[in-house]
Amino acid sequence: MNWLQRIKGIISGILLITAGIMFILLPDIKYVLLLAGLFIYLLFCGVRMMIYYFTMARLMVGGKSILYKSVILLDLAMFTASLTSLSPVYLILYLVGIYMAAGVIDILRSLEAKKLDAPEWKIKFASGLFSILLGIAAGISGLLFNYPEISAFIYGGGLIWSGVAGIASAFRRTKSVYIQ
Amino acid sequence: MPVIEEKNEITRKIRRYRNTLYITGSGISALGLWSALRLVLGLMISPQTLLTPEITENISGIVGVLVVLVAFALVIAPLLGLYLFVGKKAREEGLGKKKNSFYIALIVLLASLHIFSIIYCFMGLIGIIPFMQDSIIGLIVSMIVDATAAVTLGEMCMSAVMIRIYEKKNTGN
Amino acid sequence: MQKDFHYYATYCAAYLAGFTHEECMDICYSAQLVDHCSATLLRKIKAPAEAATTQLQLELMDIKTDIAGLQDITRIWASFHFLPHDLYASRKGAPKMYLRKYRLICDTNSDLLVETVKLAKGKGTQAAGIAMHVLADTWAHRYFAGTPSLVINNTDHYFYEIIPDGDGYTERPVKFIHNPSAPDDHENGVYVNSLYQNSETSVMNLGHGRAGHLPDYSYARYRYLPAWGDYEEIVKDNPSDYMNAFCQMIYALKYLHGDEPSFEKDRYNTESAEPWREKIRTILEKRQTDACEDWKKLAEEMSGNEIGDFDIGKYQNEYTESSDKDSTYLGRFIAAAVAQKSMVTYHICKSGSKLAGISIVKKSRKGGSEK
Repeated sequence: MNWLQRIKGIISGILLITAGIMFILLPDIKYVLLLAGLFIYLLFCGVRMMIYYFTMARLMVGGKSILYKSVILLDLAMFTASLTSLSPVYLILYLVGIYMAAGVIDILRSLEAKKLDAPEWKIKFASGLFSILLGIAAGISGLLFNYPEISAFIYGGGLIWSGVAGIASAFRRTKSVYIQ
Repeated sequence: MPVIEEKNEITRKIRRYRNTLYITGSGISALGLWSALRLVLGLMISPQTLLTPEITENISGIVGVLVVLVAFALVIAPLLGLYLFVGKKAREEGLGKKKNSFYIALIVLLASLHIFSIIYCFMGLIGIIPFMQDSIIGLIVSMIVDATAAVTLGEMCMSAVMIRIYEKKNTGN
Repeated sequence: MQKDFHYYATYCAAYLAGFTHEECMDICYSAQLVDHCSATLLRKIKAPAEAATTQLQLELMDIKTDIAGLQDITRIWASFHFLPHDLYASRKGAPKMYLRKYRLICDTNSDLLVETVKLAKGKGTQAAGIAMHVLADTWAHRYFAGTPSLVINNTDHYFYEIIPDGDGYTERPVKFIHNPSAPDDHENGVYVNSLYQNSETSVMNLGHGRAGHLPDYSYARYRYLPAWGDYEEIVKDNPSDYMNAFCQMIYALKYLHGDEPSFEKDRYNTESAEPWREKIRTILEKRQTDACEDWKKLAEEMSGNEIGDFDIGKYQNEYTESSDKDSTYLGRFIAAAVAQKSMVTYHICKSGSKLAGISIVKKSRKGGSEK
């Protein structure tokens, strides 16, 4: 990893931690923040995929599918931006959805690792289960008990954790020079 | 160009167009599903972006919402069916399976609907249709989605036509 | 390629090239060890991790595909399993970032292959074994690249198996499934491949993962559209390619044995293989996922000696207990592996690509440069 990669990792980690703290502490703007965050993320993914198409995938057999996927992502981003008066209920549903999806993916990966007799499958499984339980907690607190603040706290905590993991990864020791 | 080389070049082009048909077929099915979902979500979350103020003013409670939902289902469902049918036929032809020329006419029909929608949104944008002015972003989003769909359908149509032209050329050689 | 070819067929080629039974065992053991010498194994015997010649599926699953991780992957796979054919290839309208990956596509009879075989000259049986593994894999793994890349290594639904049927051939579409624990069903044409991943640098897009194990089956004949091929169809005839690999191995081993003055591209020793050609062809064409038994029988018939099965732990104690590790079997294997990796990485770096990392030449105290 070169110095630029490390700096990028640290900056994005700091941004995530800041966003997480703001999400927990600021009561009123968190939903606008969530929508804005989702819009920026989808926009970033769509633009990145489109750049990938024009630099690499246009030369690949079936590469046009990448272009169409990028356009759908951009459409999704624009649609998110147009949701001006979103009730907290839908935002909580989104939070729950994100956690459940991440949890399901982790569990599927752990089952694949288990098939290969990898010892790490237990950690992955536990992580996936934890995400699903978090999602359920966010859903129950927000929807059933009408405490959307707890859902916001959970989501903010998730952002902070991702930021910390990103910064830790930026300090990972790497070796790129290979001496002949 | 020697005949054998030309035949190889034609075969390559047919493969390219078949691949495009397969991808655009999948793409148009996905776009159709996404458009239907967006319409339903938009109606549930921000109905003012889709319906005139007179209608939204008179909707009250669950009954009103249900009535409007059913009405839209009668419009959305056939349209979605069209998208999925066209997508399925395009994918089948892309895989080199049975060919069906009827769906090319449906491609043209769908593309026309999208072009009409772009014009309609543009009219809303410049103020000819006043009620739509409240949701400029929504209009722009609709225009982008419609443009995407129109281009996809245009590419699908072109691929289907070019396959027929090149296959005739191949048989001729 | 699999153990049947890397171990037993390499033994046969070495024997036909004039090596003794013991030397043949050393060479074929080394050739097969390339598929087992992972960072995990090296950590176990406290050997340098730089000598890794493969990565286990478990290692790949956990690897980070950041720049350092990708360089690690490319160094290993391009050096030992997907030797690049032309590091200066060009493609019309392709930007630099595409060309870096395009130039890593593996194919036979490359300049790097000549360097690989020449590098093994005079370096012992372990180096010869490694060179034979690399040579054989250029035939099996041709048209794929030893770096994770969707735009180079992807395959799609256009994949048909060509099956001999009487005097002619029939075709059937290949069905790919994504269950890593399910065996390949070659009777019904159902094979396991890696999952489609949108991400350019996903490990699912490494090597021939998207074509499953088909390139490693000697009986397989198939046609497909490689992602880089601009809709040009490739017809892969493994029985013919594997026969060429075998004859080229004999020629290369004869050079290493001192019976040939040089090693050149596109040359094969078919005369030595001729008495055994029909038996080899029968083994190669037989529809089976593992031809070890057949190759072993042939090898024992050829040399009149019993061929021991490959045992990964055979030389580990010798290495761990020795005070002079470099003179042990594994010590010599490790030295040869590091030399091969250095050579390939150097050439990739020299061509302007950092995909395998940066390679520098150490200047020796005597004033020249050390390679």
